[in-house]
Amino acid sequence: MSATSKSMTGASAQAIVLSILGRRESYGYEIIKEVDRLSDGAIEWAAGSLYPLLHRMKADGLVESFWVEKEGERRRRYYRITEKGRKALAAEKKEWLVVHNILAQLWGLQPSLT
Amino acid sequence: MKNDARFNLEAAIASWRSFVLSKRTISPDDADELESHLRDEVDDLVAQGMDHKAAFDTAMERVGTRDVIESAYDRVYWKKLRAEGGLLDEFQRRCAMLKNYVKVALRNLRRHLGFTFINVVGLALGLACYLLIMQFVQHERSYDRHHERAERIFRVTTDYASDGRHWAATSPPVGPAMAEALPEIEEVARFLPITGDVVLRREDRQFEHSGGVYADSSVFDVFSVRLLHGDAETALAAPHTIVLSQRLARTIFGDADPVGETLTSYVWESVTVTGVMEDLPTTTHLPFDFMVSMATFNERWPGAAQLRRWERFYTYVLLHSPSAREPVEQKLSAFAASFFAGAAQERDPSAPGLSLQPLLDIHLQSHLEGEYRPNGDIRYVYIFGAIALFVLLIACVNFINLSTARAAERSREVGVRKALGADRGRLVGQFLGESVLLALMAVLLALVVVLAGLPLFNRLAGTSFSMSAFFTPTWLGSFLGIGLLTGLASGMYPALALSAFRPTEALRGYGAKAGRTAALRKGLVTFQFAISVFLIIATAVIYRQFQYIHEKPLGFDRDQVVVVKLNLGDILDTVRANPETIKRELKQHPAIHQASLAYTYPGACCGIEAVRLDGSADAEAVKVRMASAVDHDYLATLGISLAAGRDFSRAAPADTTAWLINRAAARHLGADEPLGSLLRWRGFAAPIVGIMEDFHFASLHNAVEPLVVLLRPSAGDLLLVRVRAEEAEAALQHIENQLARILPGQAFRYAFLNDELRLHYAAEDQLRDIAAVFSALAILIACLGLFGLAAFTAQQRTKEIGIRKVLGAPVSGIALLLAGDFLKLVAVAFIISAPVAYVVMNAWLDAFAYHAELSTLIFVIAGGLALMVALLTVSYHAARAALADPVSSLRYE
Repeated sequence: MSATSKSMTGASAQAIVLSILGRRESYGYEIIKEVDRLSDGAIEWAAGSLYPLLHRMKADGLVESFWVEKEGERRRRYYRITEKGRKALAAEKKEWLVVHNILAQLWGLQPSLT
Repeated sequence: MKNDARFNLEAAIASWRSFVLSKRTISPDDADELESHLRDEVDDLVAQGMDHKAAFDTAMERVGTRDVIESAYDRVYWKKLRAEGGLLDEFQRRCAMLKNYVKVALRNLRRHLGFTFINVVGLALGLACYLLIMQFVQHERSYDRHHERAERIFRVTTDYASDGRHWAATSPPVGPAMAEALPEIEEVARFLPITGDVVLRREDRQFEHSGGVYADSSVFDVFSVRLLHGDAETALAAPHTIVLSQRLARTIFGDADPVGETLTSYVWESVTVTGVMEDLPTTTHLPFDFMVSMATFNERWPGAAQLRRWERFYTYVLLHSPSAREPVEQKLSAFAASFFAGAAQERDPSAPGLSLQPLLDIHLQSHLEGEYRPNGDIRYVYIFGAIALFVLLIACVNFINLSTARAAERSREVGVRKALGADRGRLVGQFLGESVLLALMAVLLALVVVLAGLPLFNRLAGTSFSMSAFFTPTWLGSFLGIGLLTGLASGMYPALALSAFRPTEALRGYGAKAGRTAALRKGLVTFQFAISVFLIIATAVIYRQFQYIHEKPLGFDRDQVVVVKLNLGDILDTVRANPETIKRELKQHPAIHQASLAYTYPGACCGIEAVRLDGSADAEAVKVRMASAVDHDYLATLGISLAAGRDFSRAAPADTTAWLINRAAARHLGADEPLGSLLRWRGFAAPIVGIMEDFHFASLHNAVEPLVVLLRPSAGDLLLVRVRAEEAEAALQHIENQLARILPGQAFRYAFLNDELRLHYAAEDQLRDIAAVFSALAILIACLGLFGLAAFTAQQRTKEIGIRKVLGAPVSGIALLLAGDFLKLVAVAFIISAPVAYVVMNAWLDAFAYHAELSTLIFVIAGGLALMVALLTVSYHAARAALADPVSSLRYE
């Protein structure tokens, strides 16, 4: 029930996942919750599309995964960003900032990025 | 927080997990991950106050529906495989699956040998027919394509708008004049056929050969005629030069290089061999075995090359580009107007136009007057192609029918497979695998059938295909391709229909769609028989027309007339010098009734000339066919009867020259009383002494045209001899002896008039035989399918029949019940195809000016035949089922 358009979500998904994993390693359910929180519920990812994305990123070498079994919690597969992933994140960041700048100027917003 | 007692969360998750795992693209690891996610979601939702069932359903929804997960995972599957190095495993798994398909398919086919046999044989026959006919079609379409510049070559034709006659040839100067006037023309080449046999002498040996042409030296620049010996630049430049085909060169000179050798001939005295060309392929509309330089013709007949109204030269122009055709055609009418403006008007008052004809269209689409030889016919190519497709369709229908007929029987198998977890794709693969395997077997068998049937087909179609023609990569490829396609196409429906069965219904017995497939089956059987009935009717009509042609009185006696061709110069001179003597000597033999020296005979008659009645009100020339040289015995020899007036007579001294005309000419000339009038032709006049009954001097395709016959007793070059039927051998011997007496050592060439006439109907002859053979095959294949279907129906209704018998139904009643179902279909097929056949065959008959009528008898016989064949086919199974002991049939199960 996301208000955000599908193509938008698709294009931004990898950048968002990389950014989240760039802060700390995480697992699928947590990522979805995080996106839900950050977007105030506007973007609601389905597991069925997040996991294939994670797997593809793993196949591309952007992230790596490992199983974690903590005491009192259920077994979860965590994802961690790789060095290649950090480079990709930097590149993504640059591109999205360009887009953001253009839109900000067009919409008369103050460029507040430093 | 109230939980539904009946809902077991763990069981629900386990079942969901097993479903997720059933997708091969999702590994157990992935499933673990999804499950862990699902549990997180459920826990959160339960914490928010949902009961277990609602939480599970909501979580499921959030995770994504089955299809979304499936396709999303599929998309990354190959990438993951590659990253993890699992490609080989995947490949092996797929191979194993394929192997399994084949194994199961083979087992299935073996278990139903009858079904396999009918399917394979039917399909093989259909495929073989299709391939043979397509080879023929391909052959017909390949005419003249071997010329590299074929796209740019056009034939110039002469078009008489005044009487609608369109000639394939032009007069000699047209070509050179066009090349000069129209810059789009790169080169011109002309051919003039050399009529009759040419005798070439080398030392003391002589070779008679027909099929020569006079040709321009530019022929090598326009056409792809390859010289094996000699120089194309100069080969046909000088007078008295000749280029031989390899075949002819070998006959005359053996294997030696003959360039520079000299041959002598009656017509040109001596000619020097300047080249040997590669034998022309059979696929040329203009075949010839030797070319004599046009310079030779010009020297021998000076001035002939300047005749502007003598349409004997086949003229071909090579344009700079194929698109230059349009501008050239636009300029042609102006060119023709100025070109013919000064030409002599006497022969024909109207000025002709010129037009272009693409070289590649000539063989199949050109049917002009004076073609070099009769061309093929695009309509027959279409007809043959349609027959091929029909036969193949009938074979495919068998395939579909037999497979869907077994659907009911196999529905249990499908049900079990589905219950065990086979998805639809796998079942479709299984069924397609079976049909493709069958099709491949059929392809192999078809190859055998083609090779075995090739000699017969060659005889039928008048072709000379060799086995090697089928062993080219293209043909083998298309062979396999068509086989696979047929297998796929005809396996597709059964595969989809069977795999769509719901397991519950399938396991209960009949599939839900059994009723619908039965209807389809009936429709297809009707379709098969509609085609078969159509082919039977068509064949019958063609046969009848053929019989009609051969039995229709032609207005002259076609039997027992021998045509002796006197092309040999020396003999001809002797005979012409004293025709009465030779005729008298011939007639002395008791086996010979009559003999006549003539220039033409029915079947090879006659040119068009413009004539004028003297003293008619409007002294305008009219065009008629003319036999320009016959003698006093012409009518008597051929048995042509007179309608009015008298025959030429030796007793009437005025008859040094005189005309006989036919009734059509009498009408056409428009005189009230043509007898005794003077008829003018080329500044020469003679009286009309008699009117002949119309006789068919041309083929029955055309109505009898006006004909005038001129008495010139010693100008003929043919001896027409009427012999006594029982003593034809002796008569021929006598003729040979007499001719040998005049000039010893000459070969003696003759033909029976009847055989010559038959040549006019070669195309129909061919169509008749091909239609007969292939409609028989179509019926055979359709019946094969019917036989199989009858077997299945009988089997399906075993119990019903048992009960009927127990209740007292007679054997005949039961057999009729079973057979009746099929006979109804055949009846419907007849009702569908009879009107279509009526319309189509009427159109075909209309191409003949004289044709047999379409009698209802043909339709009755065709319908009866189809019905009888169908009855015979199903009666075996019907009878067997009806005679079966009800005790055993009811005990079944």
